[in-house]
Amino acid sequence: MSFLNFDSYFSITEILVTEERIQAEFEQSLPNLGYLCASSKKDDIAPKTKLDIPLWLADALCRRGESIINWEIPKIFKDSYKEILEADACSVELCKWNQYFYELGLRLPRTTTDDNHKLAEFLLEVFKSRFRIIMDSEQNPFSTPLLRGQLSTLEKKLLVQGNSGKLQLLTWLNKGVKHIETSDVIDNIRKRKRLVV
Amino acid sequence: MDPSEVEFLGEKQLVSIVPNFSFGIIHLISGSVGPFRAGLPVKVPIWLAISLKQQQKCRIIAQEWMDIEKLNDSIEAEKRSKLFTKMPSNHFMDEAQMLLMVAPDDIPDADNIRTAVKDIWDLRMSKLRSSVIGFVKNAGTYAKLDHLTAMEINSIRSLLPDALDIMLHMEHGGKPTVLQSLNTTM
Amino acid sequence: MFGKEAIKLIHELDQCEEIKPFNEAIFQQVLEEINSLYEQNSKDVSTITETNTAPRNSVIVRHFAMNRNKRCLLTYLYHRLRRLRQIRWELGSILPSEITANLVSAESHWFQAYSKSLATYMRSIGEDGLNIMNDVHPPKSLYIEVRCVQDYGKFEFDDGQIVNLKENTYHLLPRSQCEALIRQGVLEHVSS
Repeated sequence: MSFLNFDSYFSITEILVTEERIQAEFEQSLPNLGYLCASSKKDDIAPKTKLDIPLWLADALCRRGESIINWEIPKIFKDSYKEILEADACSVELCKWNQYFYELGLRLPRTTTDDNHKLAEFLLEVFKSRFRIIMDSEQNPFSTPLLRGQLSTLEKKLLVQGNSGKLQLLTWLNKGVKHIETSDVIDNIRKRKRLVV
Repeated sequence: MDPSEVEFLGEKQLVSIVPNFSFGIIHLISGSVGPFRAGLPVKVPIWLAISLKQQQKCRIIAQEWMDIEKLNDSIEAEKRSKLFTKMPSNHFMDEAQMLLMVAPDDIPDADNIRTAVKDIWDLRMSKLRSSVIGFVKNAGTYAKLDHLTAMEINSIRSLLPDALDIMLHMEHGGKPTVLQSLNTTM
Repeated sequence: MFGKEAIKLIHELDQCEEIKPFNEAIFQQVLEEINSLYEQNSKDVSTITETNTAPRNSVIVRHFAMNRNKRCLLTYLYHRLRRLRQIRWELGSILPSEITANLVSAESHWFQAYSKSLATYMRSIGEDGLNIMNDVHPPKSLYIEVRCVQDYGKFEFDDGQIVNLKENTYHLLPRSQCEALIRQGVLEHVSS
């Protein structure tokens, strides 16, 4: 049930995605923040220092008029990886590349060129060719554990949602009557009690 | 939407019954039903028919399309056509489920009708599935959903709208807002 | 890196759908991080001059780090409340002790206030009020068959009739009266 649908400020996925690291090189010095580099003993971060920083920080530092950092595109979005996906998107174990594959690609800091747009277009193609996996496994709601490594978080969520719809339909076709059910909250409490005993 | 909610909407469809009692007109918010004359057919909403049948106050007359020959013709037409064919009712599956469950004794040839309806349903569901896959794959911008019935549309509701949402988001080059839609549907 | 503690709270939300014990330790740690970032910034701001602009970069980084921490804290609180609200709809206004034990007092207060608002609203519908928690799915019949899962004792219905709900007994009861008891796990809806 969704009553309130605020913007993405409170989105758990959005926060987790923006915690992913990308490699950045600082263009300017940052006094008194040397301790962010584990390897350095200096007080300051000097220009040309390379550091893996979370996306939320990279994004913020790129949005300013004069850029404080240069960032490097993660390797999973580089040509060699793209070629693997182009060859056969369905057989790639996307979750192992990055569980937030799509979200990460879409959330990379904006560039002045149209690279972001091209990447988004590429992601769209990947999603479209892999959608079949979701549709196929939605047919058999019970075979999904096999797919854990293969699907990214986004795809998994879609599949779970599709499965629950499928299950509702099957229940209706078999039984016809909708039963009132015990709340999941109570079920979970009971399960835990059983474990403790 | 839960299938039981679609069925609830289907309960508003009319069906003929032969009551075994007499009673005046009943005025309801959704319209008036009756008058009831014992032995004379009258059209009522399915929910009322089911309730009266359970109290053994009426006999339900099968819907006109619940006829094995007509249904077999529909099966053939559905097989021949690439697109979806028109169904006799926008709620054919739920109507069949409800009426066959509560009044199998009133509907001639109930078992065969049940099988035929299930055959049509299976045919159409697999057609729907392949057209969804094709639609997503070829990045269609619109789909022709003529003659899809309520329960069929509902069956893809758990997957397709969100998938299309994701695709739209990617087409727009990924602005940091839309992906949350999956998060917020609890 | 900044925000390392705060993200733990978000992982906690992500890994488990339930309301876990309020993570006071980490919550406090994040607040401290915000405070220390703030203090350093106020120190550094005064050192910025026209010739020495470098501290400005550090101020910006810390500023975003504060915002990030704040966002994580608020998201943590927000989702806990959302879950609590969901539970209100499933279980009614009396929470099992397993859940109340995990709430902080502000959350308990919020729950009471939310319950009160709901009750006021429900009373205001129609002449005698309407219980909007009932019939979440279209009802098929007025009475349903239920099995009692646990000893509950005597239960009085709206019409004054009293039923003794003992474990493993079967009853045919008005649907509107036992829907809440089914969701609370006292009764089980069985097929007739």
